[in-house]
Amino acid sequence: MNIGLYLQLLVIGLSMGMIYAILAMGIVLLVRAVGVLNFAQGELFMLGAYVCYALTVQLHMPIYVMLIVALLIFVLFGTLFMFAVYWPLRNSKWPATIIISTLGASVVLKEVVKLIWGSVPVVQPPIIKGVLVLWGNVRIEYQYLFIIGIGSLLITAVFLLFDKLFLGRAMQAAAQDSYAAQLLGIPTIVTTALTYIISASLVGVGGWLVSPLFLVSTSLGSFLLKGFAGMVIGGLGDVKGAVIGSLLVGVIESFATLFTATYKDAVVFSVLIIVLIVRPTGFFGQKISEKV
Amino acid sequence: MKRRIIKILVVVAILALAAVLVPTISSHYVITVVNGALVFYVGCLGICVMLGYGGMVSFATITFMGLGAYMSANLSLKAGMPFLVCVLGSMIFAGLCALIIGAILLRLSGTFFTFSTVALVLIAHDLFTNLRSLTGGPDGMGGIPPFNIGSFVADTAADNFYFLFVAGLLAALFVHRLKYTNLGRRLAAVRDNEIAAATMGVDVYRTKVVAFIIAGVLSGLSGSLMVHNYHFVGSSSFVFDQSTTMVIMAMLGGVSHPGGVFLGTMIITMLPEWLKPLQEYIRLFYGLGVMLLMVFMPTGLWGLGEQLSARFKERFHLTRKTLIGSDDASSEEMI
Amino acid sequence: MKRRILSVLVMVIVLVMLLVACGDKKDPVTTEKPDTPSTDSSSGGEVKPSVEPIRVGVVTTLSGSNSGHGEYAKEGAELAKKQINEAGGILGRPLEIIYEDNGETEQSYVNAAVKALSSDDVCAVYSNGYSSQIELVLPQAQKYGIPYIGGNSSHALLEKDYTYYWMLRLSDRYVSPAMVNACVELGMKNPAILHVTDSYGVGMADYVEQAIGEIEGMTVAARIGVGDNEQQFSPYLTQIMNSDADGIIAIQHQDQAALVMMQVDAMAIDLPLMGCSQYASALAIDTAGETANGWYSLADWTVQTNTETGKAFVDAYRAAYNRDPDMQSVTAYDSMYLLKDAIERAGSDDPDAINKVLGETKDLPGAMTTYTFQGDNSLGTTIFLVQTENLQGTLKGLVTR
Repeated sequence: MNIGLYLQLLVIGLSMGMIYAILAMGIVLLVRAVGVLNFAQGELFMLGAYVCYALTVQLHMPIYVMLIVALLIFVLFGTLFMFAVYWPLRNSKWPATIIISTLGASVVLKEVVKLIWGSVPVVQPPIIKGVLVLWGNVRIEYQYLFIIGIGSLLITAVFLLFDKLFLGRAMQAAAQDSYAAQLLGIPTIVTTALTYIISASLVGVGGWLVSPLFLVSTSLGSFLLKGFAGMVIGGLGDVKGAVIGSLLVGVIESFATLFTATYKDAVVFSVLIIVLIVRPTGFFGQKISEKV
Repeated sequence: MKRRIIKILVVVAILALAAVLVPTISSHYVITVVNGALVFYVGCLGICVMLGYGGMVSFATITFMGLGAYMSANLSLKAGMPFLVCVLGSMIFAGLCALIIGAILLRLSGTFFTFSTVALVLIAHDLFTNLRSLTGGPDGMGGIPPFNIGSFVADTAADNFYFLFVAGLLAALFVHRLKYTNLGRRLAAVRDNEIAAATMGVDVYRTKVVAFIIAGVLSGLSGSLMVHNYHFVGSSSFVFDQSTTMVIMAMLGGVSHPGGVFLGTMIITMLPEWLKPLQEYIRLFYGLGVMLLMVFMPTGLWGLGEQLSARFKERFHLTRKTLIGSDDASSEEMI
Repeated sequence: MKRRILSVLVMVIVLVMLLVACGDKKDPVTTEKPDTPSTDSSSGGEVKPSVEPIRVGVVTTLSGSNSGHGEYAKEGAELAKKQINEAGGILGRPLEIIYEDNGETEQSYVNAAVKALSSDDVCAVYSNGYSSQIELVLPQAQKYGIPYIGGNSSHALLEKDYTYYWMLRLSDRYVSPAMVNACVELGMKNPAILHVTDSYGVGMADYVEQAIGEIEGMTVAARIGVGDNEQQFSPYLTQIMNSDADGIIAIQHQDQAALVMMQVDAMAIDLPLMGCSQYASALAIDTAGETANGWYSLADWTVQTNTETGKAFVDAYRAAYNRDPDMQSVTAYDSMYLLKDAIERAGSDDPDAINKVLGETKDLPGAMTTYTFQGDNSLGTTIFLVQTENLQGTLKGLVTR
C-alpha cells in the first residue's frame, strides 16, 4: 500500500488520540484527586460542544470572546458538578455510590441537553476550513492539524501545572493525603474544586475541538469510552500514561479500519483487555496496596 | 418460630394472590408489560448478587443475557430442543462464559474491573451484530417457539406470565437464600473490606468469581426467558444503555434485597407506560432520582421502607426490644 | 418479624397501585374514543355518529427524542381520516384512529403495539417503527390475526412468513437494482459501498452487491460496513480515495447520512455520489446543509412527486399543516387509503377478510406510489430518483419495480 494512505490515517488517528487524551487527562485528574471514576465526563465533553455551539452559532460571538465566555461557563460547570455529585457523597461508606451517582449525572446532563437543544443534531461550522493537498489523493483536513496543535498545548499545560507550579503541587499533595495536606494548611475543598474545574475545562475545550468534525449531539458522550480505554491502557492515575495510552488508542483505531470496519471497536477494546491481563495496572500504573 | 411461620404464610398468600389476580383481572396489555418487567427482574437479580452482596459494579449483565438469549434461540431453532432444555443450556453456557471471563476480569481491582465490563459489553455487541451464522446478524433470529412443558404450550400472554412468574420466584428465592449461606457471608465480607476479608481467610478472588458466575447464570436465564417471551432476538437489545438502565433498576429499589430489586424493576418498567406524556422527562427523573438516592438513601426504596418501618415501630414500641438507634437497624442491610 | 411483613405489605401496595395505574392508563384511550368521532362529525357532517366506527390502530413515536417522526405520521393519518370521513367514511361508517405512543425503547414499542392489537374492534394496525421493533411484534400480530402495516422497507421481514405483515414501500431488494442502474448512468464502474451494519444496511448492501455482480464489467471496489454508532468516517473515506473506486454508494440512517455528506465535502471528494433514501430525507439535508448538494439518491418520497394523487396530497397537506409532508406522513396517509380500499372490497371490517383482500390489491393509486400485489407483501411499485440541488430533492426520474 502507499505511504500517503498511512500518513493520512496516522494524522487522523493522532488527532482522535489527542481528543481521547484530553478526556483521559480529565478523568485521571479526578481519579488522583478524589479516587472517583467519573462516568459523566463524556457528557461534560458533549456539553462543551453544545456550549460552544450556542455561543458561536446562536449568539454570534467572535472566537476570542467565545473562548473566554466558554471557559467561564466550564469553570462554573466544574464547581457545580463537584458540589452536586462528589461533595455530598465524599464520606459515603461504600465507594460504588459515587460511581453510580456519576452515572446518574450523565443521564441527567444528556437529558437536559436534549430538552434545551432538542434531539436533532446541530452543526458547528469548521474552526479552520479546507484541506491540505500534499500530493495526488493525499489530503489532510486543517481541522485535524488544528486539533493536534491545541491538544499538544493542553497536554503541555497540564504537565507544567502539576510538575512546576506550586498550585499543582499543592493539589497533588492534597490528592495523596488530604489529612496531612490539611495540616499543612492546604484547603482540600479548594484543591478538589480546582481539580474539578480544570477537568471540566479540559473536556469542554475537547468538545469544542471535535464539534465541527462531527455533529453536535448527545452521542458525543460515547467518546468517553475511548478516553477510558486510553487511560486504563496507560495506567489508572498516571497523566503521562493516559496521554500515551490515548494516542495509542487513536492510532490503533485508525489503522484497524484497514482490516476491519465492523470490529474496529472490538479491536480497540480487545487490546485493552489484553493489556489488562498482561499488566493489570496498565503500562505506567503502580500497584499500591490499599489501607485497611 | 411462630412468627416465622406467619410471615412465610403471609408472603405465600400474597404471592398466590398475585399469581391468580394479575392474569385474570388485568388486560392483555398490562400482562405484557409485567412480563417484560419479569424478564428483566431475573437479570437484575444478578446485579443484586454482584453489586448488592458483593459490592462490585459490573455492566456485563446485559452481555450474559445476550449469550443466554442466543444460546436459547439456537438450541430451539436449530436443534429443536424443548423449552426446559433451552433454558438449562443457556444457563450453563452463560455460566461457563462467566467463569472464563470472570476469571480474567476479576484479577483487576475495583474501577478497572468496572471499566473492563463496559469494554466487554461493547465487544459483545459488535460480535452479536456481526456473527451472522450464530446470531442472525443485524436481522436477528425470529420465530422462536413459545414457552412449553411437555404438551403444554404457552399461547397467551397470561400463560407466559405463569412461566415468568415461576422463574422469577425461584430465582428470587435462590438469591434471597444465598445471602445467608457461607458464600453470601464471604461476599459481604469482601464487599465491606477486601483486605480485612483476606486476612480472615476468605479467598477474595475465588469468592468474586463465584458471584460473577451466579450473576452470569441468572442473566443467562433472563436472556432465555426473553427470547421465549418475545419469540425474537436481535442485537439491538444488548447495548450498554440497557445495561445502565438495569443497574438503575436495581439501585432504585434497593440493590441488596431481591424484593427491592423487584420494586425497582417494576417502577422503571411501569413509569414510562404510566407517564407517557412525560416521556421526555422520564430519563431525567431517573438520573436525578439515582443521584438523590445515592446521597440520602443508598439502600434504595426498600431500605427506605425498612428504615421507616423501624422508626414507626420504635415510636409505638412494637418491637420486643427497643432498637438502640434506628440507624443501626438499617445498617445491617446497608450495602 | 412484623417489620418484614410490613415491608412486604408496603411493596405489594405499591405494586398494586402501579398495576391499577397501568390499568387506568387504558381509560384515557377509551374516553378519547367518543371524543374523536364527535370532532369528525363537526367537520364532516354526513357521517352519523350513531354508526359504529371502523377502528384502526396507529403505533408511532409521540413522545421522546424521535417524536418528530411520529408527528409527521400522525398528521398524515389525521389528514386521511378527515378526507375519508368527509367523503362519507368507509362503508358508510366513520374511520376512527387509535394512537399508541411507542416511546423510546424496544420494550415500550412491544407494549404499545400489543395495546393497539388488543384494543376493541381494531381491524388493522399501522406503524412506522424500525424493522427490529416491528419484528418483535409480528408474532403477536399473527396470533391476533390482525393485519400489521409497516412503514419500513427491510426485505428480511418479508422472507419470514408473516402473512399478516404488509409493507407499503418498495422493499430494499427491488430498490437496489434500480440504484445500481442509476449508478451505471452516473458513470460508476467500480463503486465503493459504505453501509451501516444494521438489518437495513446489511440487507441493502447485499442486494446492491448482487445487482452489481449481475452487470457485466462492473465490480465492487470496496465494501465497508460501519456500526450505527460510528461518527468518524474519515478513515473509511481515506481508504476509498486511495482505492480505485470511481464512485460511492452510501447506505446510512439520517444522522450518519448527514455526517457522511459533511465529511465527504470536508475531504473535497469529487466522485459521483449515490445515497439511499435517507440521503434525501429532510432531516439529513437540514443537518448537512450545503454539503448535501450534488448527492443522488433513490427516495420513496419527494414533494416534487409527479403523480396526480401525490400532487393533490402535497397541496392538501400544505393547506392543513402549513409545512411540507415528510415520508412518514405520506406512508401513514396511504396506509389509511389502502385499508379503506381493502375494507370496501372485503365488504366488512373483519381483520381476516381485510388481510385476504390486501393480497388482491391492484393498481390502487396512492400519494407515494401505486399499490399492487406482486407476489410478496411489499405493495409499493415505484421509487423516485432524485438529486439534491439547493437543499432540495430535484426529481430526476421514476423507477418501476
